[in-house]
Amino acid sequence: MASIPEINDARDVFSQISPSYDIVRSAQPERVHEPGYYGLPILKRPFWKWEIALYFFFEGVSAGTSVLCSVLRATRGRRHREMIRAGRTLSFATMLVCPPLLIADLGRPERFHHMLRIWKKTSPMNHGAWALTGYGLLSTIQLCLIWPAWRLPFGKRIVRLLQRLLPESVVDVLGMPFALTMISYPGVLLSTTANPVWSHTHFLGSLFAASSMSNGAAALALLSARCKDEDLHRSIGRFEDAATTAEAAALALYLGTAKKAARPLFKGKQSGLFLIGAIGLGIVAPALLRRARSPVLRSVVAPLLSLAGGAALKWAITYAGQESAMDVELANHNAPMIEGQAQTRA
Amino acid sequence: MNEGLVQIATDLRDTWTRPEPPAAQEETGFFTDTTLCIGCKACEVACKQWNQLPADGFNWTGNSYDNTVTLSDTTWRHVAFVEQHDAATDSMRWLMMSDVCKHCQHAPCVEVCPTGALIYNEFGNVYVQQDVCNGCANCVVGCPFGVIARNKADGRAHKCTLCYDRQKDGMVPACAKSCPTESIKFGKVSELREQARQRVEQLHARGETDAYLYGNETWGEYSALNSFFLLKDKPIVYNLPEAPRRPAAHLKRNYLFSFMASVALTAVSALLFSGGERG
Repeated sequence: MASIPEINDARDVFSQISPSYDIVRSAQPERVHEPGYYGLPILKRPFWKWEIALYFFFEGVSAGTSVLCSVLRATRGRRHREMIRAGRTLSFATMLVCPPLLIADLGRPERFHHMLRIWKKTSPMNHGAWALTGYGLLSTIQLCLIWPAWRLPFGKRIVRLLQRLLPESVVDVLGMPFALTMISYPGVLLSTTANPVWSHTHFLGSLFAASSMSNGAAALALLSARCKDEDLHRSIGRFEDAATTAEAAALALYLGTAKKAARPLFKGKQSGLFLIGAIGLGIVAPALLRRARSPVLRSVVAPLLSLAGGAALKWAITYAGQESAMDVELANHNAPMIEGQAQTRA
Repeated sequence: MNEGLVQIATDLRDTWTRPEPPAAQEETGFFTDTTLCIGCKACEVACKQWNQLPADGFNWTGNSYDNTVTLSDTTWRHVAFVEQHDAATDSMRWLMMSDVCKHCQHAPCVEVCPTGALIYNEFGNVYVQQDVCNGCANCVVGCPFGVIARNKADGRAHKCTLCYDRQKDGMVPACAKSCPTESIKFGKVSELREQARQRVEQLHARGETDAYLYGNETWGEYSALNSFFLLKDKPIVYNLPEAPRRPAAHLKRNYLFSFMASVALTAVSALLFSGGERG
């Protein structure tokens, strides 16, 4: 008489029918051994795409230029009124692009104002919506104050009233915190997510901020290209160097802290844009060209490359989130920055 | 024309009107005991049916019996199937887990939501107010479990509501109601946690020493989950992260470094610009 196999639990049942399990194994030999769950991603792909990448670029140029115009007005306002006027106009124009981009990105564009129904401490996007509202308003007022009322097509009376009531210095001081928030929050918005390439670092905010300041400086350099004042050129050039240095330092800190999470920037679709565009053309080339003899290279080509590099940086990092979300290994250990606390379970 | 304007005015008024929220009740949640799951997918079906969620198509993945693949805006329960073969004994075991929104105590989706559409309702459940959500998709990148997603058709974020409507009427959520083995248990979180601890003890006593609770308490930087699980293998085997990220824990430091960079560069610009002749 054949002995009846002892069956204690489900495992024993399967061991009795193992020959048929071999068929299952041969049908899907690799999938079973893929890391995690059939190699499927843990995270969802970000919905943030070109609208957001372009927004980061335009608002960076706008706020960077705005801050530098305020500084320029406070330090040598009388001498460079034309220059500040051009800067303010550029800042306003690039600011105007921002709300449409943000609204277009929404699933429900007609509900954009819902961002402004509350103030929320923990939501950088909420801070950004408020900052953009305040910044948009103040940059409009700044534009009104700097253009002579008679040159405006309409609204002459309101502008004259504004000019009488509001001293430029007061508006500049009021606008500064808003502009600085516009410069500082975009990287933080990306960083406070679960997406590894954005969040495994505390320096993405600084990187975007430095890039925006350097883009603002590049915009001013372009606008001052025809200006004869050598002293101004020198000051702007020096500041461009300072901002580029800060950007390079922030980039080093970002890559150093993000470590493995920065992989999508070196391999994959965004690597060319990041390495050649953001670093090569955006940081290295302008720094070298600013030392060139030719004034065209110095004050036209260099700032243009710097601006293109800023766009490339923000585009590459925004889109790197797409690939980073697919990384199972990093999504599994998604909290590497708090040491000794991550509890492991066998 | 006039009616349209009135409608717009009413909508605008409603946007900034906040009625008194219902009085807080004891927190409710799910305890999903995967050792009891038989992979029948009754929870998936019941969820789709009650919440009137559309089908996701008939796609064969070849990943065991799992053709649902993942939680999404239209799938709020997902049964994972894991076939494990032990070469040493040439034996096999099934792991099945009904996955769902974790209803985190400190939910990243709630923390990053800029409109206040995502809230903790009176039962302590994480809930999307569909009349507020504007589809910014910040919650999608905020969630470390990949639960919430934006719907293409209606442009808003959707996920498990823990059957808020049923709870309001004193009913059990559809998935828990339909679960034939009580693998999905619904109840007050404090009671569920106690129940879960006892279940682990029971399993350990029977020699099933690999049983443990996932999300029963705070771990790493992450909060406890109000919808937690009893697992028998590493979390990643069920596509759950071992160390999920809580974005808000890093907010202050990110802002600090970011403002340091922008303020310092502004100061540098002031120094450099004032260095020349004054105008």
